[in-house]
Amino acid sequence: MTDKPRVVVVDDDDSVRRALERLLRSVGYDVELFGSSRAFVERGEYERADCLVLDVRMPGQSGLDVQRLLISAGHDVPIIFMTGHGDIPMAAQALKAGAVDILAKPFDDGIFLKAVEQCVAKSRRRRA
Amino acid sequence: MSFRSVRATAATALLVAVAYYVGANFGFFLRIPPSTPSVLWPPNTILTATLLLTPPRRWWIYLLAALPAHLAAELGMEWPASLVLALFITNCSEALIAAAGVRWFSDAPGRFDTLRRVTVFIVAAGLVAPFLSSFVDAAAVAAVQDEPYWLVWRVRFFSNVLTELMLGPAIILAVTAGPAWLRSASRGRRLEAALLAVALVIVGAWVFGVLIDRPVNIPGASVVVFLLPLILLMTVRFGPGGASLALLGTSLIAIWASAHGRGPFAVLPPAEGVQALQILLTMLIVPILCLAAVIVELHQATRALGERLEALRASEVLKSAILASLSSSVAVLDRGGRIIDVNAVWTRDGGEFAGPTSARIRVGDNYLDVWREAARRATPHADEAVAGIAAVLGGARLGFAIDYSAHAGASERWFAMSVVPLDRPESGAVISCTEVTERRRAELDAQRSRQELAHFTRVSTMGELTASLAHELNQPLAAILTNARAALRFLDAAPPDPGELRAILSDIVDDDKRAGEVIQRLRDLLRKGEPQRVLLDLNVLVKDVVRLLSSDAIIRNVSVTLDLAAEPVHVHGDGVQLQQVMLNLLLNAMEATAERSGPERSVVVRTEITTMLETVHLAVEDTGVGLGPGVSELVFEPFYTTKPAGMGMGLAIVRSIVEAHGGVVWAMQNPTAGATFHVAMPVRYMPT
Repeated sequence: MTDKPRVVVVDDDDSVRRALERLLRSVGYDVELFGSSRAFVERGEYERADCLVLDVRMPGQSGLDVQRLLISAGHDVPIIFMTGHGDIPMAAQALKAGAVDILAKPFDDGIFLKAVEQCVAKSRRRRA
Repeated sequence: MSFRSVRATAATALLVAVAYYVGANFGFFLRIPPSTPSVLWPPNTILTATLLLTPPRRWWIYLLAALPAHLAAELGMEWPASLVLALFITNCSEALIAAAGVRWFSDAPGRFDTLRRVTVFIVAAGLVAPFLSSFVDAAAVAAVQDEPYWLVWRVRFFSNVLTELMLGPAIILAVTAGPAWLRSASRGRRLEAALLAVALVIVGAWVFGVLIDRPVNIPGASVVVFLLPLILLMTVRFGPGGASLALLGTSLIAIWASAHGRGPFAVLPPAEGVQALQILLTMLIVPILCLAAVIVELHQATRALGERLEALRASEVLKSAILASLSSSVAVLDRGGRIIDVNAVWTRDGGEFAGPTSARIRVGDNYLDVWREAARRATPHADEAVAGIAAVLGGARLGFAIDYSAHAGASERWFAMSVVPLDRPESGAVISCTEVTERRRAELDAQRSRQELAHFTRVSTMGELTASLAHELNQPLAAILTNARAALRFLDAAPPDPGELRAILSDIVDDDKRAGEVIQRLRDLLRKGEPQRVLLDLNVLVKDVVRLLSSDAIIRNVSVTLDLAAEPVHVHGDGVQLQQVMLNLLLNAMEATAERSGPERSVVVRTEITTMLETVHLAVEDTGVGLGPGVSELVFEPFYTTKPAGMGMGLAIVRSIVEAHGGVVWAMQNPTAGATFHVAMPVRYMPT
């Protein structure tokens, strides 16, 4: 296991995925990308992630479905949600379920990286 | 046979018997002493007339009825019974030959109003029947009475020829046409007939010396000269009936006079006198009967011609009345396009607006040249009009119609011109121009309303799509922003990686384009303007609309699958309108599918070309709630909706657009779940 924190990004949009990967890499994170919820869920090894960045709306399972799945399976991975359009009931539900933050696209890199830091910190605290 | 016809037959038989008896005695009476044969022998002709006027199946009745009359008349002659019977048989045979011959060859036995009917009677009854029957007759007389055979044959032949010709038509016409004439003739006609008859009797009595008791000093045949004017006059004025009665009267006077030793024929020896008289009368009768028939035919032909002329004139009057009553301007063109006639409206308007300019167009002008001139000045529709008119004139087309506009001052007026070929050997065409400005204006108004409604519904559809459109735009915007920030961070590092920066900038450019395309598609869909018909590929339109709705599909958790024809699906139409058709159908399908919970939430869009029907077919298949019973007829009706917030215009707009493109729409319930909406439109093949 390396010292670098690992961030997993799940988004169906190639371009958004690539951009997030670059941003996270530029500040020294280890990044893993998935194009769909299913690909991520099937791969398993959830505990390897220090931070999970999920798009809410995706074909097939949504980001909220993934969150529910992880909770029910007893995996407590800190999650950041991204959404293309504001949806207050959805945001409230996600936060109640333990999400670290919800960001509306397009978002500023500072806010995003801060949220990622929070996740990583939370994850490290739990493991320590 | 009914009682009435039995009685009629019996009465006729009695009449025949009486006539036969009287005729026989009359024949005996008209002998020129001392010779035995009669100048005239009526019984045979009475039988001939009877048989011609009665159906053949009753002939035997009348012939039998004549037998007692024959016996009664001839037994008084103190001839042997065998001769009397033989003579009856020859008399009957003459009548049978005559009647059968006339019936066989004449189209109307018993009528003398055409040359053919008269000729048949003269040949069959007047010539052949006496000729054949005289052989048997002469043989019987020669055997029993010991008279010279050929003399008897000759005397009987001539006397029977004369009787058949003189008496036959007279009896037949008196029976068939006489009563009707007596009923219907005016007093003037009766007076005229009476005067002519009296004149004939007086002149006949004079020339045949009836009034003076000695032979007249006029050469035999010349008597005709005195009588002919009266006979001709009766023929001309009273037709075959008048002719036959005049001839009968003349003959009776002549024979009576000669029988009493008077008139020009009394100076000859009796046998020669009789024969000369018979030949003279026969020669007179034949041409007069023919003349009478020819006169009738001429009359009928003239009357028929008159009727046809009258009908023709009436039809001419009707045609010009129709032409005059038309509210359109109508002109008749010769094959070169020159105007040879125009109707009243054209004349009234001076041919103004009957062409592409307000210039006057008159008879004699070349209508095709008028349009050619307009085409040279690049007037709208003129090229098409020239080609259409020329095609009709040249026989290449059976009709042509076009709407054209003409400017009258500030206002624009519209006219509809139709060109049809003129149905006559010299060919040509008929042009009809009708003003349709009002109709045109109404059409334009309706079209404008339709466009405005369509635009309004497009805008409101966009309102429903705001959320998904925001998502669609936010994706590239988010990627751009994130990439730009990442690039800035990479630049801070030392040394910056140019490869990484190039990849970032390239992604930014692509995402910018992606956002631009979303905006462009929106703008296309919301464009307000005149519909433009161009060649379009339905597959491209489907892909554009599906892309526009992809976020909406994700939000609604509905998968959209494309099953498009491999080759381009070309139609002729307006891109904005057809995109709206697909947008409305897809939104409808996705909404119906989203309403239903279940694992299968999919919409399939298919396109195909049905070569057999020359149509393209678009189907949007959903797994939604489906159509209720009887609803498939209703869904395209305006304001029909099942959604609380729905306006019920989406599918109505679909139908009006598709129908304006010459297509049809229909909806069907799927066998498993959901419904399928179909659009069929005429295919357009790429010009090769």
